[in-house]
Amino acid sequence: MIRHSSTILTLAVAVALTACSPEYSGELIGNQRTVDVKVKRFGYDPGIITVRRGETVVLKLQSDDVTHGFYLFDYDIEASVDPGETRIIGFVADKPGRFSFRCSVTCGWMHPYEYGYLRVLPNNRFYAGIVLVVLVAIGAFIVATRRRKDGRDRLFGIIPLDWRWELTKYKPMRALFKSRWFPAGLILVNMVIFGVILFSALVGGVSAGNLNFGVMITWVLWWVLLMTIFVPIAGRFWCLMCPFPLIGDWIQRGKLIGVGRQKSWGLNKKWPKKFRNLWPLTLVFFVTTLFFGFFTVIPIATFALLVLVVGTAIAVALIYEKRTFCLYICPVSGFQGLYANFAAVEVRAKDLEVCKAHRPKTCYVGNENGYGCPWLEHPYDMNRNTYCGLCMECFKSCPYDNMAFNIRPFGTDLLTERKRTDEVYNRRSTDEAFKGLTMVGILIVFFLVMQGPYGLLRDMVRVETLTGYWLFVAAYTLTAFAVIPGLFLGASWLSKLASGVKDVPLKKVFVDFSYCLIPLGIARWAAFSVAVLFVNGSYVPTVLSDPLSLGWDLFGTARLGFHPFWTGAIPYIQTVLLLLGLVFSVEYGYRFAERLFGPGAAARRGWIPMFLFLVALSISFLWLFEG
Amino acid sequence: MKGSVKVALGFSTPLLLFGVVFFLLMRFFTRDQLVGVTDEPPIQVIYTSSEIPLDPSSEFWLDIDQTNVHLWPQNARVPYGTEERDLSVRGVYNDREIAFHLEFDDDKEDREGPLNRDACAVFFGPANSPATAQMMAHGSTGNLWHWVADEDALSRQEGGDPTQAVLELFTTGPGTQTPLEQQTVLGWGEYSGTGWSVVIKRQLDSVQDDAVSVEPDSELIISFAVWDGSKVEALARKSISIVTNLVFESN
Amino acid sequence: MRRVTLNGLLAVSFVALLLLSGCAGNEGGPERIELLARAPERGNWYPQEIVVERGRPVTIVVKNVDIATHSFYLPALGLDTGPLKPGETQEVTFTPEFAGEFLFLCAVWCSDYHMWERGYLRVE
Repeated sequence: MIRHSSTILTLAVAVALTACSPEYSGELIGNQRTVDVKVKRFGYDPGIITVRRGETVVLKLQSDDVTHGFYLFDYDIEASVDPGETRIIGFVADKPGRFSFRCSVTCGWMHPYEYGYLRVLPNNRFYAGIVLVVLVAIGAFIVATRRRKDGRDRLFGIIPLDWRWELTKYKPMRALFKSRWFPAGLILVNMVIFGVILFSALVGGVSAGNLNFGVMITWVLWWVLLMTIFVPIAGRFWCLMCPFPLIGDWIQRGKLIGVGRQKSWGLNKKWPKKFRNLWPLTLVFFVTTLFFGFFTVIPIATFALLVLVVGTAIAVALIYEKRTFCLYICPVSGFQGLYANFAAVEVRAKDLEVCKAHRPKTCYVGNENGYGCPWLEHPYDMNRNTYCGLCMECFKSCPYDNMAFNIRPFGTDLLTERKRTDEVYNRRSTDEAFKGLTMVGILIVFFLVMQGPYGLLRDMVRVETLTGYWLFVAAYTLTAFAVIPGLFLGASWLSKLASGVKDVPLKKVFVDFSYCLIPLGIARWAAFSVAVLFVNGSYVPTVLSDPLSLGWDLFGTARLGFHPFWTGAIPYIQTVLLLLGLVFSVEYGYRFAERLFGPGAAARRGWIPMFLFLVALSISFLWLFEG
Repeated sequence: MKGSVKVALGFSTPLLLFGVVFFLLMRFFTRDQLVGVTDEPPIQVIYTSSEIPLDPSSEFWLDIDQTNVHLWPQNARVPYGTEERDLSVRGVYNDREIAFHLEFDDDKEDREGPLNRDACAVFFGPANSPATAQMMAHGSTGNLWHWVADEDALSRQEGGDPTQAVLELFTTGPGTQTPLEQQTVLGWGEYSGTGWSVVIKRQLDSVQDDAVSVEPDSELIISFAVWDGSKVEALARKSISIVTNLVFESN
Repeated sequence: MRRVTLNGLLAVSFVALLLLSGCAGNEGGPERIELLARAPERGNWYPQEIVVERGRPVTIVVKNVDIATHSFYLPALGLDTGPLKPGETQEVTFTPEFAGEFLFLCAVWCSDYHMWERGYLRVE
C-alpha cells in the first residue's frame, strides 16, 4: 500500500477536486500550460489533467517502465513513448469537455484499460447535459402524470401498451419458426465460431489479448452486440442462438436437430425450489466479474472461463432436467432475463381459449414435432419474458399454430402482474430487485476500472498485491450489494413516507420501484459498451484476418491495429442513451407508483422522492461519464 | 428477506469454491515462468586490517579472492553497447576505506579522451531500488565511481591528484549522471600490455549529500561497466554487468 | 497421336511437380527462421539458439508475441530491427561470413528481467 500512496493520494485529490473548484494541472506560462505526465503500467500520473479552454497544452510524456502510447479522444492525437525518452505533444485545447486518453501501444495485459482524462474547463457540455437531464425528466414526469382519458393505457400518451405486431402472421416467418433448423442452424454456426474462439484463446496463452481472436470476438464483438442491440431490443436474443447448451441438449435428447427423447437422459433432477429465482444467477454473475481483470484480457483466461462455463453446462445437463443451466446458472442469463422485460419482442400464445381447451398441452409436454418447453415455462399462459429463452420449440409443438412472435412497445413486461399464486416465474421479489440493483453497482465499478483514470484500481483488480485485491473485492461487494441497494431503500422509504399510504409494505415499494432501474441500467450498459466498440472496434477486423495467429491475412486487415473511430461522438451518444433510459424509467415508474399507492394524489406524492432519486442517479451517471 | 439470505448463503458456498479454483487457475496461468534468468552471485567485499594500496600491481591484491563478472552490451538506450566482456573483481575494506580492484582485457592503451579513452566504473544503489537489473535504470538513484584513463594519466603527473582519476557521480536515471561537489574517490590504473588493472578506493562513509554510504551495514546493489576507447565507446555505449548484491564479509 | 500427347503432358507435369515440390523450400530465397520475442518471465526468445550455415543467406523473422515492446539487436553483425510492438513482425536478412557464436539481445526495456533477454546465433 505504501507503494501506492502517491496514487491513493491522486485518487483522493482527484475525487475531491472534480467535485469542487478546479485546480489546473502543470505550469502555466502565458497561454501555454506544460504538464509532466508519467505513464506506467497501467495508468497515467496525473490521471486527470485539467486545463482551461483555449490554452496551448504541452504534455511531456515519460515512461516509467516499458513503451506506452497516448491517444486522445476527439482531438485524435496519438503518440508513443519509449522508456528513457521524453515525448512532447502540443495542441490547442479548443474543445471544452472531458476527453479520455488511453494507451495506444500494447504494454501489458491491462493495456486496454489504461485510461486518463483531460478536462478542458469550463465543462459546458457537462452542465448542458445536467440541464438537459433535468428538463427531460420534468417533461417525462408531466407526460406520465397527466390524467389519461382514454381507456387504453398509452406509453407517453402515444403508444398503446397493448399494441402488438405479430411477425409470425407472415407465412415465411411462421415457416421459419416452425422449422427444426431454426434456431438450430444459427446455434451450429455459433458453435463453429465458438470452437475457433476456444482454439485461438488456448493457443494465445499469455500473449496480448487485443490481438487475439478469442478475446476480441468475445469481449469486443459479442459483448458489445449483446449490450447495445440484442438485450435492449430483443431481450434473450443471444439465448436463442447460444452454443453453450448444445452438447448438453444433444446428450439429453439423443438427437441434434430432430425430436428425440422428451425426457432428458441423465439424472433429470428438478432444480431445488428455493433456488428457482434470480439469486443464483445474480451471484454467479457477480462472482464471475471478480475475475474480469484476467479473463477479459488474457487469452488463456478467456479459454478457462469459457471451458468452465461450457463444462458446467454439460455437467448440469447430465444432472438436472432440460435447460436448468440456462435458467439458473449461466452467468449471462441473469441480466438477459431481467432486461428482457424491457425488450421490444415477445413470444406469447395467441388465443388463450384455444389453449384452455387443448389437452395435453404439447407446448409443455412436447410431441413428435417439438420438445416440451426446455425452459420449463408454460407457453400457453406465459406473460413475461424473464424465463423464456426464445428457443421456438413451442412454435413447433403447437398443433394449432397458436404461438406468436410479437414486436411490442418497449418495457410492457415491467407492468405484468402475477398470473396465479403458484406461479413461480412471475413473482416479483427481492431476487429481481437485487439483480437490477447490482447491475447498477457493477456498471459503476466496471466503468471506474476499465475506463477510469485510476491506475490504482487496475492494480487492485489484476492482483498486483493480494491485499489490494481483497480490498477491491470488499469494496466492490459492498457497493453492489449494500451501498446502491441501501440508497435505493432510502429513496423507497421516502417515497412511502411521502405517499401517506401506511399499509403498503416497504419491501413491496422497494421491489416494485426497482424495475425503474431496468431501462436506466440497460441505457448505461449500452453507453459503456458503445465506448468499448468505438475505441477497440478496429481490432475485430484485425483478428478476423488472422484468427489463429498463424500470420494469415484473409481480409487484408491483419495489420489494422488500434484505430479508434468516432471517439468525439461517444459522449453525445451516451447522453442520448441516458435520456432514453431515464424517460422510460420515469414513464413506467409513475405507473408503479399508482399501483403501489393507489391512483391520484397519493401516487404523485409517493412518486416524487423516487423520481428525484432517478434524476440524481442519472446526473451521477452523467458526471461519471462526462464530468 | 430471511429466505433470500438463506438462498444466497446456500448457493454461495459452492460458488465461492468455484471462484477460488478459478482464481488459483488464473494465478497459475499468469505466473512468472523464468527462462534464461540467472542468479547473479553477490560481490563479496573482504575485510582486511592492513592498509589498502592504490597500486593495482601490488602483491596485496594477489591474496584477495576474485570474482568473475560477465559484462553484456548495454541494451536499454541508444547508443547500445556491442561487446561481451569479462571482468575480474576483488573487493576489500578496512576500518576506513573500501576499494575495488578491477581487471579486464584491452588490446590497446587508450588515454586520449573524451570519446576514445578506456574506462571502467562501479555503480552503487540502495537495495530497495524500484528499478532492477540494470544500473542507472529509470526510477533508481545511485552513485557511479567512473575511472577514466585520460584523467588517470593527468593525475600521475607532477602535482596531480589521485582523486582526479575517478569521477564521483550521482545518478537518478538514464543519462542523469552529475558530479558530486567533492570528488573523494581515488583511482589508479596500470596497463599490462594485454589489459587494465584498476584500483578504485574511497572512504567508507561520506559526508556529502547524494553520496551513497558504502559501509558494512549498508544494503546495496552493485554493478560494473567497462569502456574500450579504441572502439569509440563512451557514455551509453559500454558493457555492463547485471546488478547484484554487495555483501560485506565480517571481520 | 492424341493419347501420346496426353501421356507426354502428364509425364512432363508430373516430373515438374516433383522437381518443384522437392526444391520449393531450398531455392529462390534465403533460409527463413522464425524467432519469437517474449520477456524472460514468459519464455524468453524462442528458440534461444539459432544455428545457421556459414555463407548462406538467412532471414530471421522476428515476431513479437508478447505483451510489451521488444527489439532484436545483434551487435556483432550490426543487426537491429528497432522497436517491435506486440503483434508486429520484422525481418532481418544477412549472410554470415564467418563462424562463431554471436550474442543477440532485446534492446528496448520490456520487463524487470530485460537484462536476461538474450540468445545466441551460432554460425557453423
